[in-house]
This record gives sequence, C-alpha cells and structure tokens, in this order.
Amino acid sequence: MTGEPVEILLVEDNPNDEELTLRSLKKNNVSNQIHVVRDGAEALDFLFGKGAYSGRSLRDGPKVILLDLKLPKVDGLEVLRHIKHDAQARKIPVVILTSSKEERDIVESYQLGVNSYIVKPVDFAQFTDAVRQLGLYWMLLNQPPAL
Amino acid sequence: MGTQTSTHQPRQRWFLRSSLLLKQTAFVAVVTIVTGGTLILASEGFARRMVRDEIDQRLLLAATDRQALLQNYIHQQEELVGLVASRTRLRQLVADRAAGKIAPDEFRQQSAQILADARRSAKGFVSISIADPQGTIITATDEMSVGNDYGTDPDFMEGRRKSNLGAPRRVGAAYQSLLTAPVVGNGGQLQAVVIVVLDAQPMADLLAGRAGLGESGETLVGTLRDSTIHLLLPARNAPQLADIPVGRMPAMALAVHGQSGLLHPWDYRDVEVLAAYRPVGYLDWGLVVKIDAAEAYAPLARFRAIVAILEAAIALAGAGLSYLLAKRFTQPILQLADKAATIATGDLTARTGLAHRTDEFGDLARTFDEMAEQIQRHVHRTDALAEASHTFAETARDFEGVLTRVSHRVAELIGDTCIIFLASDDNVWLEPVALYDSDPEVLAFTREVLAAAPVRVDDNTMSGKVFKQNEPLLVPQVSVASLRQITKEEYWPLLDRVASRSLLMVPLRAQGRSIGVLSLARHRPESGAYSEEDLKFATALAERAGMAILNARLYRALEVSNADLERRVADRTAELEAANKELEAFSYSVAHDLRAPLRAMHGFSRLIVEDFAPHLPDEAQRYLHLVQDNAEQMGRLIDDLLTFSRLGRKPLEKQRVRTADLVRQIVSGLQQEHTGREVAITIGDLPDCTADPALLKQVFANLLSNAVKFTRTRNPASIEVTSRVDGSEPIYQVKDNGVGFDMQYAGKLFGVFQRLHRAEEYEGTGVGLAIVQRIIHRHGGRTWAESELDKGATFYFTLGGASHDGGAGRNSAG
Repeated sequence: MTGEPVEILLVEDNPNDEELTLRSLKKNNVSNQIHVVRDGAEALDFLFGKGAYSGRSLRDGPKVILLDLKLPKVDGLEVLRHIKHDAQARKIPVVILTSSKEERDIVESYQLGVNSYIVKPVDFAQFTDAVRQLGLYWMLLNQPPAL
Repeated sequence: MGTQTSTHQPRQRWFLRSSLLLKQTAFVAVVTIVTGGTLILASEGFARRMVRDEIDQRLLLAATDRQALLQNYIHQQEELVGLVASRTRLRQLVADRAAGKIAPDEFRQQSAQILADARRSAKGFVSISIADPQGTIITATDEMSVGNDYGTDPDFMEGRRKSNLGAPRRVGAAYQSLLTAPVVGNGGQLQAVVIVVLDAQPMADLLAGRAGLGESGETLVGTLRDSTIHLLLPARNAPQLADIPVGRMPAMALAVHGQSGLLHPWDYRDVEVLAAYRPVGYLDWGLVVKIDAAEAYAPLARFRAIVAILEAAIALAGAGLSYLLAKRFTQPILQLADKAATIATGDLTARTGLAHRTDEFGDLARTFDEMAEQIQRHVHRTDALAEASHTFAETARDFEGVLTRVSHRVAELIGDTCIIFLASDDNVWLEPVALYDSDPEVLAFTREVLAAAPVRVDDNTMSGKVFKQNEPLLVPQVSVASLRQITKEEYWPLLDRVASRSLLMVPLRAQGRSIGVLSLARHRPESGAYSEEDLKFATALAERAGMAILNARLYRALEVSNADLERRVADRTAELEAANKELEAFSYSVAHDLRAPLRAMHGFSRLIVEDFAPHLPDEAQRYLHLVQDNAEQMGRLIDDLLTFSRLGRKPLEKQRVRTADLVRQIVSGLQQEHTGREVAITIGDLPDCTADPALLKQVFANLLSNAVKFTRTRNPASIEVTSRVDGSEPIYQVKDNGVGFDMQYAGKLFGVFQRLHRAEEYEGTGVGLAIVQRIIHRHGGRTWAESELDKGATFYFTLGGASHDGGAGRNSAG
C-alpha cells in the first residue's frame, strides 16, 4: 500500500458515517483520492510510515486529514497531538469531524492546534453540505505549504 | 500607661489646687483685707479726730494770741496818739491859736516843731496833723496837707471823742490807718483833733506771724461793712480782695458778731480750712486764724499710707501663711490623688508612701494602701482565673497539662500545696492528676504518699467526702489529732510531715455533678488560715476547671465522631465523584455515540429516497420522511439534553452583564425565526446585573424564542422584555400576547420534557424552560410564569440578591 497518492485521509471508525462521508465527498466531486483508516493507531501508522504502512512518505499525501474524536485504540485527540508535535506532519491541515459538541473537546482540539472543528449534523442534507464545504475549502481554496 | 499618667496628673493637681489651695488662700486674704480695711477706717477716723483736736487747740491758742497782740498794738497806738494830743505845749499852742494869741505862722511853725518831734519818737507815724474841730487841718508835719478837710471822715469824727485807730486803708501799695485823738482844752472842751497817718504794716506784720500754724496758716482781720465782710488787712493769697459776702466767710461773720469758736469752712479760695474765730475786742473787728485742712491732715495721709502698707503686708502674710498651711494639707491629698491615678492606670504596686504619718492623713493613707493591696490581691486572683479560663479554652485536649499549670498558680497564690483529683471513669478512684508545692521536698513526699495509697471514693477521706457530697470544705484550723480521726492511717505520715494548719477542698463539677476535687493545704507557719475569700477563689477556679475538663472530654468524643464523620464523608465523596465521572462519561458517549446511529438512520433513509424514489410507492416515501423527521427530532432532544446536563456541571462564570445589550443581541438574532410575521419586540428599562453571560443569554434566548413561537397565530405579535424592582432584587419579565397556557399546568411548565402543547402545533423538545429554570436556580434566583389560556403569557425570573448592584448601571433602551 505504498506510493499511491492520497488527498484526503479520513479517520473514522463508524462504517455508516464513513459511507455517508465518502458519498458526500464523491458526489460533490471533491476528490476520489480518499484513504480511510478505522482507528487512531492505524492513522498514526499511515502518517508516519509504520506498521502496515512502513515505507510510506508524507510526500504522497494526504493534503488534509478528517479526524473523528472517538476512535478505538488511540483516540482522535491523541492522534492530533502526535500530528501537531511532528515537524513535518503538523503542516497538514487537520479537520475534526465529530458528533461531539462538548466544549472541552473543542477547546482541547484548538489548544493542540487543530485547523478546523466541525460537528456532524444529524440531518443528512446539512451533513452533506458541511462535507462539501469543507472539502471545497481545504482541497481547492486553501493553499498548503510544501511538505 | 506612661503617657496617660502624664496627661492626667497635672490636671488633677491643678484642680485640687484651685479647689482647696486657692480657695483657702483667697479666703484668708479676703478676711485680712476686710478686717484690715475696717481697722484702717476706724483708726483713720480716730486719728483724724486726734489731729483735728490738736489743730483746733493750736488754732484757738493762736487766735487768742493774735487777739492779744492786736489789742495790745491798738492800745499802744491809741496811747501814743493820746500822748501827742495831751502834750501841754501843743495844747497851749492850740488854745493860743483859738484865742488868737498867736499868729498863724507862728502857730504853724511852733506846732510843726512839736509834731515833728512826736513823729520822730513814734514808730510808724507817717505824718501828724492837727485839725480844728471842724476838720480842717491847721498844722501838719507835712505842710502840703494844711487846709485839707477831714470834717466828714468817720475816723476824724471818732477822734473828736477819744483816741481812735481807724480801719486801715489802701494808699498806693501800702496800707495806712488814721490814728486820731482829741486835743482838749483845760475846760474840757474840744480844741482840735490830732490826726496821725499810721503805717499799717507793723499791724500786718504782727498778724503775719505763722508760728505754730504751718505753711498755710493765716490770720485775717475783718469788719462788717454794709452787710459784707471787709478785710482790714490784705489776705495773703488774694491781696486785692477786700469785700467778701458774709456767706462765704462764716467764721469771720461769727467773729464780727462777737462770737468765738471753731469752724471748718471753705475759705475765700474755696479751700477747706480749719479755723478759729473770735472778736478782736475793738470796735466790731473780728479775727480768724485758719489753716488748710490739707496741711492739717497731712500727717494723717502719712499715717494712712503706713497703715495701708501694714495692711497689705498683713494680707500678704495671711495669704502666704494660709497658702503654706493649705499646701501642707493638700500635699498629701495630691499625693493620694496621684497614687490613686497611678493605681487607676493599672499599676497596682503603687502605694501612697504616707502610711508613716501619725495624723488623719496617715489613717487615710493606710486605708488607701490596704485598699490597693486588696485590689491587687483581687486582681491577681481574677487574673489567675482569667488565665486559667483562657488556657482551659485554648488547650481543649491537653487538660492534664493545663491542670498542672493551674495547680502551680493556685499553690503560689493561696498556697501551699495544691492537688487536683479527678474521678476515674468508673467513679471508684480519685486520681491525682496535678500536684504542686513550691517546696520540692514536700512535693516529692506528697507524690510518694499519693502513689503509695490511692484514694478510693468510698473511703472515709475528706476528699472522698467532698467528692460525694459535692460540697466544699474549709477547715481554717486543723489539729493533727482531729485530722487523724478522719484520715486513713497511711496518710498520717503525710499529715505529720506537712503538719497542715489549714485545709480547703472544693469539688470539681461538670454539669452539676462531681468529677473531682481541688484540694489545698497550708503547712507553712507564716501562711495562716484559709479565708472565705480563698474559698470563693478556689470555687471559681474549680468551676472553670470543671468546665474545661468537661469540654475536653466532649472534645475528645467529638474528635472521635468527627474522624468517623470525615471518613464517611470521604467515602461518600469518592462514591459521588465516581458516579459523577460515570455520568460525565455517559453524557460524553451520548454526545458522541447516540448521534451517529441517528445520522445513519437519517442519512440512509434519505439516500433511499434520493436514489430509489421512482421505485417506491408514495406511502413508503412518506414513512421514510417520518423516519427522517424523528431522527431530526431525536437529534434536537439529544442536543437539548446535553445542554441541560452540562448546565449542572459547568462552573458559573459570573461577571457584570449589560442586560439590555444582551437582550438586544438576542432579539436581532431571532429575526430569522419570524421572517414574514409582524412581531413587535419592546425592550424596556433593564438594569445591569452580575451573572454568567453565556447562561443568561441562554435564558433570554429560550424565553424569547418561546414567545416568538407561541405568538405564531397573532398578528401583530407583541413581546415585551421589561423589569421591575421588588424589594432589593429586580424581576425580569418576558411578556407575550400568544396562546398562553392553562395555569393549572403551571407546575409542569419547567419540568424536563414537559410540554403543554401538541408537537404538531408547536415544535420543541420540552427542555427549554427546564434549562431556564436550572440556570436561574444556579444563580440563586427564582422563575415563574403567569398566563391565561389564549391571553398571552408572562415569564418572570430573578437572579438572586447578590446578582444585582441596586440599579446603579440602569440602562435604558427602547
């Protein structure tokens, strides 16, 4: 699983949310190069070229990370912490995409340096709209630094 | 204390001085001055009388003397003129002339010869003339005067009868008298009259002598002429003065009327004089000898001055003496006052230092010292009691240590040995818990005896008795023999050794019950017997000790139960914390996990509609929409519930809130909720408050959102946000003209999930008002509502007393 360029890394353990997210992204023509990991540990492996992803480089992406907070093994905040403590990885924009409206989650995420925090709406139309907007913004409007 | 003394004492001293020293001195001075003054007046009157009598005497003598001299002089002059007139040769010549026997020239020549001789022989004769019986000068020593006519001159008339001295008359600067005498023929017939012009100066000189009359002495000679006094010789002080009204010369008036005596009139100068008057004894001439009263009484003034000086000296001496005397009295009083002040400032060691005196002050000082002594003793004991109370209160647990200190103090204060017994828990033993005697030997011995023979409550000991009967015992005088009778045998050595002379035992009580005994014994010969006062002191001390012991025991019990309580609180707290954590974890899961399946339900049912709508019957599509609606509703419920539960956990962050601004912000945010409707929202006068701004915003947002929602059927809708002050706290109110509610359900209004309207009429979760209530309760305020079905509703809330500053920042808004 190396070498394949990835534009969006979706860290999501809920297959339903995954499917809805992917559908929204694709339907809105944001990107087809989306990689999905199902827990925090896998996400870290993917980003830092370890475990199953050994040898993978950040040069191959992703351009943006969509990160859920409630994740098996290593939770989303921990993943965020690792990303933002790494000199290379920290340049990748991280968007928290979660069901949690908890104030402390929002505060801590921003303290760790998250680039955006989005609460997944229950309403699917709203959800689709949110995903579309964030995809457009981060993939098309935002100008990232060179890795 | 030092400064206090220095500011107090001088004032007090001054006060004493002013009251005693000054008063006495002033009194004596006044008495001396008054009596001295009276004496001066009396003595002056006396002296004045003496002086006057003496002067009067001298005046009388002088008057008599002057009269004699004047009379003598007049007689002498009369005789002298008589001698001239009776000269034989002259008489012959006159007779010859009358008879025409001699030629006029011859007559003049010869007679002038005779007259010149006579003039030479008599002193003071200025000229001598001879007039014929008709008054015409026929011969004279002065040729010029021959032919002059004296016919009408009274002195001439008088001289026709006898020798006569006329009243002096002024002639130029001098005074002259006419001295006349008849020249009688042999037949006795008048032949001529001798007229001598006499220089009156010798007469004046005669009277001018002032021997014995002092500087102002003067002799006046006068006569009555035409109802006025005519001075015959010039007055010394007014030479031009000749005629004076009678009224102004009363002495002379009396004299010319032939009376003599003494008078103190005002003279011609209007000066007070002392005068003696008498008639000259010649014609109606009167004589007055006078002296100025001022001069007469001059010695009196000196006398007065001396007396005044003497009086002043006496007054001064009296005042001084009385000052010294008063000082001798006030000095000890001041000293006493001084010491009293010192004692009053708290220095009880001060003594008068006058106790050695044998007088009444000594008595007073001794009484005073004794009083100070008593106070000092009393204060010491009170101090000891206070100290004991204080230490008892301070060291609630270590009461044995405190009792040791107290026994020490008591032994020192009322001596000599002090033992404090406490009953054992089973009330069988009296255990000595504190023991003191300043004599280490006695202390050691007592301790030894007590250790060897413990005291049983039921034994027939004095301490046992005091304990059981709960009554103090005072044995002022102890005989060892009697003590032995009521003391267990094993104590006899102690008794003998310490040879107690006086005993004092008081029970230690707690809540009225005996818990021990405070036992005191005096064994030193100099200590004397215990007094009632000692008993009172010991009782008071025992009372405090008893309370302290009770407190200590209660305190210990409390500590045990406290520790238990603390443990239980800790356990419960841990349980609660665990439960809270679980709850938090639960709500976190709810937040995260409960929404995911909802999203899936909503999302996929939507996808079905989107992707497969053409294949689905309408009914199926409707059902799928219902699934979506319910999922959305569930999502809102979860959001509201989470908000609601978060309110319970999040700490309040109170700050000053500009309420009116906050409400305006919400109102503008609400506009999209009522687009297309006519809604008038009025914001009244809202005072600033202190609250958590985010939460307060939620309150207003929920209430306003409700108001907008339930006025949906109204056109126009009217909503008013106002406040009024009720007592100290403002009441905020949100009033609408909406559908309202039935007051019988008012109790349900603020409950979670409580709805008074059907969901299809008015959407909502039924959590909004519960959130409002929870926020208001957390602020310490109240919330309530009033309504009538279909007639609008008013929601009220307060923020608790401390949330408002009394309207200082009232903010008006329209």
